This record gives sequence, C-alpha cells and structure tokens, in this order.
Amino acid sequence: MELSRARIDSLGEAIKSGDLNDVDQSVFSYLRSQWAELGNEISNRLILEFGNDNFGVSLRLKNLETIRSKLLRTTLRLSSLRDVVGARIVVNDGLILQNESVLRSVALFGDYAVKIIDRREFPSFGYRAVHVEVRHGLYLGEIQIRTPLQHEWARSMESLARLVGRDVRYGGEPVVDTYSPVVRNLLLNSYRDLVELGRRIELSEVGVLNDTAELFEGLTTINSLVIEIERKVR
Amino acid sequence: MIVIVQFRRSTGKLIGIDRFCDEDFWPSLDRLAELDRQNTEPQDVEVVRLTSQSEAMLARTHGNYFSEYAMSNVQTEVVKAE
Repeated sequence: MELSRARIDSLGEAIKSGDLNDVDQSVFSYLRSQWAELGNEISNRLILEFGNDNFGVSLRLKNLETIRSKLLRTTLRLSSLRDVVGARIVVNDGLILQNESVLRSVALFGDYAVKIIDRREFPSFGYRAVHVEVRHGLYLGEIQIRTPLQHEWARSMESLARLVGRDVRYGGEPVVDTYSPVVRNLLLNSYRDLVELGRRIELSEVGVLNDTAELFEGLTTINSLVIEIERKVR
Repeated sequence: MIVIVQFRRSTGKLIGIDRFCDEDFWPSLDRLAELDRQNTEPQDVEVVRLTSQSEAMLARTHGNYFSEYAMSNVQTEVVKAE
C-alpha cells in the first residue's frame, strides 16, 4: 500500500470523527503495521545498545482510542504524532547518565532523522524527561529517556490522574466533586504535593538540594495513597 | 517478549493480559486489532501493546500496569483457572 502524508492526515480526521469506513480501517491496519515495524526496529536497537546497562527499556504502541484522544486534545495531525510508537528508557542514575543515554540514542539512530526534545528545559505541566524523535520516511517514533526520579514522578501523576481526571496531566484542575470531603482533601493535597515534589526533583537533580531519598519516599506515599483510595472507592 | 494489556482506568486494574514471544509479531498485531474492535468502553479500557526483554522490565518502565494491585484481577483469574 502506498501512503502519503495527506492520506495519513485524512485518516486522522476520520479517527477524530469516530467514523472509520472500511477503507479507513484497512489503511489504519496497514499504518499500524508500519508503526509496529518501526517500533520493532527501535526496540531491537535499544535493547542491543542498553541491554547490559541495567536500564529499563521497553516499547509501547498506542491503540486507536489513545490516538483519537490525542488528536482531539491537541492540534496535531496524525502524521506528526510522534508517540504512537513510544520507547522508554529509565536509566539508573541522574542527569549525567541521562545525558549520556540521549547522546547514545541519537548516535544509534544516525541513519534516521533525529530530533531532541528536552522536557527538562521545557517541562510539560511538570513532566520532565528527554525525548528523542526518530523519523523514518513517513513514520515517527519517540524515545523517552527518564531518570528514576523523573520516571516515578510521571508514574505518580499517571496514577493520581486515574482518580482526579486525566486532564491534570495537561494542565487541567483536579476533578474531585464526586468524593467525600475527606477523600477530596486527600486527593487535592496529594496533587499539590506532587506538583511541589516535581519542583524539588528539578532542584535535587541539578544538585541544589540533596534529598533524593525523601523525594522517592514522597512519591511512594502518593502512589500508596492512590491505591488505598482506589481500593476503597472503586 | 510482547504483551498486550487491557487496563481499566476507573479501577486501576488489568482486566486482561496476552503474552507473546518475539516471533509472534504479526499475531500480536492481529490480537491488538481484535481487542480494539471488541472494546466497548474505549474511554475507560486502555488496550496497550508493549515490548520488552521481560515482564520484570515492563514492570519497571510501565509499573502502573504491572503493580501487584493492577494485576490482582488477572492473578485471581489465573488461580481460578488452576
């Protein structure tokens, strides 16, 4: 099947409208197979490169609904979604190792078009990491490279978002109206704590603060609280 | 390995997990498409295809899907099957 950027973007419009005809379905199937093949290549290279470093390395392929949500939430076109194919590396130390891993990833994909997006310099609603965009022809992939603290923060925000609404990850206010006053306060305090922990992580990673253990403890507390509330209210 | 998880956001728990070896690249994509088609609650149920060296590695990079709590329903189903 021959695809063009225009055809991919018109498929994106159909995905947004939720109205995929048979032709769109088959184009999506083909596109997903191309993304998956790109993902396979990215994953294989990363595992070969980082497999002995005791880092966490994995790859995620977005499904139709998560693609649709992203298209509806943003002004991006389908051909420019870079995280449909999303690899993740969690290094086992701080910024120096993260920076080294970014350079190694860029070198690893020297035969692709590569771009670095530094979300430490430009955080996305508190989310910090370095992303490496990898383009192969029409298809885009992304490698998220995180330190353990950045990763745990992102994970905590993801967990909390299950209870207070996914929009908090994109700057929205936590939605807590349906909870009892006690739970509501716990959730709002957790959200505020998490925002504050994000600020402290940034200072800690550049060496202004030296409180790594305390930061992990704070994040673990929020994760445990989320699970405890989920057990009780779901 | 390749894993496809079905994760219910409203409970924070997995409702299904399919495991494939690396050679099952195409069957895993077919299964992902099938689960996507069958998913009647797409706002609440995420269907995600993950690849890594091991499930332990996935627990490290995608811990929210692989925590003891998230997997409690799936584990229960395994115990029932035994």
